[in-house]
Amino acid sequence: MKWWEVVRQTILSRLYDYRLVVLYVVSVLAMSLAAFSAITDLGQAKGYYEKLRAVTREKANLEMVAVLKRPSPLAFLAEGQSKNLPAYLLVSASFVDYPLADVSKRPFLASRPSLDWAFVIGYLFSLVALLMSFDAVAGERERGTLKLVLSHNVSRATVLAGKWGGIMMVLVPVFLLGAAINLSIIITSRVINFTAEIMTVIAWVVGLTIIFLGAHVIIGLLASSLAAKASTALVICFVFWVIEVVLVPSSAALASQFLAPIPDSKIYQTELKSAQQRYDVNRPEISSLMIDEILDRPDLSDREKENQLNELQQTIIRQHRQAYETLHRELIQIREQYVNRLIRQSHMVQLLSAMSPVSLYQSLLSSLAGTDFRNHELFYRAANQYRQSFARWVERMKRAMRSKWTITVKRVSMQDFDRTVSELGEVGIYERGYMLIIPRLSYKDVPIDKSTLPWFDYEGGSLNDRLHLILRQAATLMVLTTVAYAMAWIAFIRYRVA
Amino acid sequence: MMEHFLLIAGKRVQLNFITGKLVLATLLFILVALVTAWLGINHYRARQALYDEMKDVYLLRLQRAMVYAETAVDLNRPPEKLSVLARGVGERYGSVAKLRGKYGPITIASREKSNFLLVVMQRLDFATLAALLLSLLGVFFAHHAVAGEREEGTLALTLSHALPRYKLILAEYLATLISVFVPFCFGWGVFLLIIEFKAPYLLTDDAGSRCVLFFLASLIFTTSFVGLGVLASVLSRQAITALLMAFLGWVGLVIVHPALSAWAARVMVPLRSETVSFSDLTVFELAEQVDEPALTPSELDDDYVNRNFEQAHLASAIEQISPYGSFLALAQILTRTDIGSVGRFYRQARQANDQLRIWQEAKLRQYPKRETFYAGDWGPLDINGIPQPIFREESLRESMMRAITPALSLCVWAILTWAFSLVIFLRYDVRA
Repeated sequence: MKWWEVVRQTILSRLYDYRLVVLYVVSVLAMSLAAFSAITDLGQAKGYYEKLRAVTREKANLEMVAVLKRPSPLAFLAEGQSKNLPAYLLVSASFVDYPLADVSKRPFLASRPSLDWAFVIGYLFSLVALLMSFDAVAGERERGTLKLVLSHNVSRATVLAGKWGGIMMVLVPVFLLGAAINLSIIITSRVINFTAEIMTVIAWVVGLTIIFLGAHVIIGLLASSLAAKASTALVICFVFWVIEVVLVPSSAALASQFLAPIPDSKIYQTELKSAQQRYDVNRPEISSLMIDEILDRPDLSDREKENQLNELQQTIIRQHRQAYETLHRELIQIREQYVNRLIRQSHMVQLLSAMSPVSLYQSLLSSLAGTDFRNHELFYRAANQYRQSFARWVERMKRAMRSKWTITVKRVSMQDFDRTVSELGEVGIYERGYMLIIPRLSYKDVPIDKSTLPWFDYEGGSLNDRLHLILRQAATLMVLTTVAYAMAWIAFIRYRVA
Repeated sequence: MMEHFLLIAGKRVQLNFITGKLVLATLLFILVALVTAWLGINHYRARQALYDEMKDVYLLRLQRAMVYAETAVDLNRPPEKLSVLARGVGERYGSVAKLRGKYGPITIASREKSNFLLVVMQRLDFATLAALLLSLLGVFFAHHAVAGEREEGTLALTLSHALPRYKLILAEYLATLISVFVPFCFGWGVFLLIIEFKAPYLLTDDAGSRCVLFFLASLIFTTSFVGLGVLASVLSRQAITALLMAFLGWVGLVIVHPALSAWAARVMVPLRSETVSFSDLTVFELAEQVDEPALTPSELDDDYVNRNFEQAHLASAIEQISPYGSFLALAQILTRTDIGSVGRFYRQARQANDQLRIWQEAKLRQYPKRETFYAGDWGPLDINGIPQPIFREESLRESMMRAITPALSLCVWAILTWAFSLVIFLRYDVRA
């Protein structure tokens, strides 16, 4: 008796089973629903992106510009965290920041899973794979056929491999059929241009899915070889499935709150406040007394008085700039610490939930689709690179303005003073015909010519980057499958057939 | 006759006890209670501290106001006490509304950590975890009731006594209910005890009656899932088929149905916003808002908000078709953390904003010059009679009125599953 004969026998026994019909109906239905849901989602995401683009251009200024992330065309594979992660980052000359969330703009249903490949395959097909394989060993023992099979000149390893191959040969075509229907609906809707890169990603996903399904079939066989009765094997399979789908992801979220805690937002706000207060203290005070003191000195000529006033103004401007820069540095530091802790926590969630094959598979898919947190980090890195060219541009613009803004102390009229303050001033004092002005420190409201602004459009990480991201997890999935196979093999070798 | 009934029920409970199912279930429920109570109390305390600090901040802003364009008041929603039990959408969608009357739109801020990254985290509360466990254990314990007995041959023996079939199935039904619900009672007791010792102020006012109602709801919920398990059992000849059917039913109701209802709501009421949401508030502006609630405010875009509510209500309505969805909806209504309570907060903010506008207009008729201009010797602003909105919480009666639909849905499930299993069992072939 050959491996192929066991395979054929397994396929035939599955073909006569009512489970197969249910499987076909469910998979075709679920995958076509997923396709329609993807079409609406992608259309909406594109519309939103176009609107956001217009606003971004309009709102760009010398302090900050927003950089956009194009919605991934592969979101139909796995929506990942794309609904929760920001669609843009804020770039200033010195750092890249996450935008703060608009509370009333959050969709109430954001945290619900959407129907994508990750949901349908991760949840439904994994269950189906377990249900196809749970009775392969224990069920045959109960029916008495296992003994007959093993009485032939065939090793137990061959029988196990044959059963695995047979079930896979039933299961994989079902998945391929569902995928083909899903893709053909999406192709005919013309929401996405199917480029070579997208096809490569889909090929990768198909490969990973086959490994994933194989892992679940082998887990089903393992459960079957551990139990004497098919019903016990079924219970083991169910418990495993509930653990990997419900328990592991939620306990990962829970555990990461302890392992990588985030300080309360109140503490964060207090730190911000105290930085602001320190700035208020460090800022040099200017008063009309200072001007009076110089103007009242009898030993100075008018020209010397003007020089002295100019020096005073320069000192104050310097001190002011220093205080402002210190504040800037401190605020960035506080913000970065806070954001880094958030990032660390979400890494922890991902790391812990990798214990569940379903979570592992879903995160693989969203990495490939470019919708998960790690792809967002690629975006963050790209934005940081863009920041340098933005900073150079800002420096150029500011230099041009400063030369226009160089203010020397001289006698001016009250009207001139008012105009100058409203044009370029942060604080100004007018005393006995002299004005003392500190030019503005924040350039947010300065009107600028945006035609020279270097523009940044992020297309998503390259295929290479994304494949690099999934390498470790794909290896974990392979190792998991191999370990499960080895365990099933050992369990089956020790199985009491009688 | 009653003896038979008790005998059968007692036997089933005993069986569950001997096989360790009861003990395992009790341990699971107690674990859930410990973790969720501890988390819930900490979460509540953090928000309460922030609320206490921030609730009167707007008075300071009013004192400093010199012109009427600067008069703005806050509507503060205190954290819900029973959010320790079920968090729902809770306060993530805003708990502070800044009202400016005729001088600008309402802005809403939230006291939860308002960063994008954090929306990713799942929320764990007692109601959700208990619902998962109750439903799972319900179908799992019940699947054996008829088909399993038939396989073992005991069903024919039991029925050979002078015992009507309805009594037999009723006894199995009751016994399974006890085996699932008694462990839950232990967990519930531990949960209440922790709250009573760690944070006794949480169970004052009408919170006690709300807890009793939650308890009743979980009883009906358990009944409906036990009914589902028994139904699967009377529909099949073998225990394994019954288990398959029951578990697939559970997957459909608990995992697939919520996702499908969210999908249906998204398709039927797409969220399209005329204005995009764009927050260019950086850390610098955030630090300057020393007196403001520490959080990101955003202006209400009425069209978007209405659609958002419509979508969420639709999803919740579709979800209430299933017992799992109804139970969660019921728990959230009782703890005032559901979508309706968020709507209530938004409605009250709009009302209070209208009141403030009327007040501002009256004051401007009295002091027409002081809208945006202020001269040094005019003295402080007259802010007598400014409306100071207080969030009116939903009374128990109102909550119960809203809870009628999900409660009815739960009852219908419980009755239907039981009635069907009874009718089908009357025609069940007990032969081996």
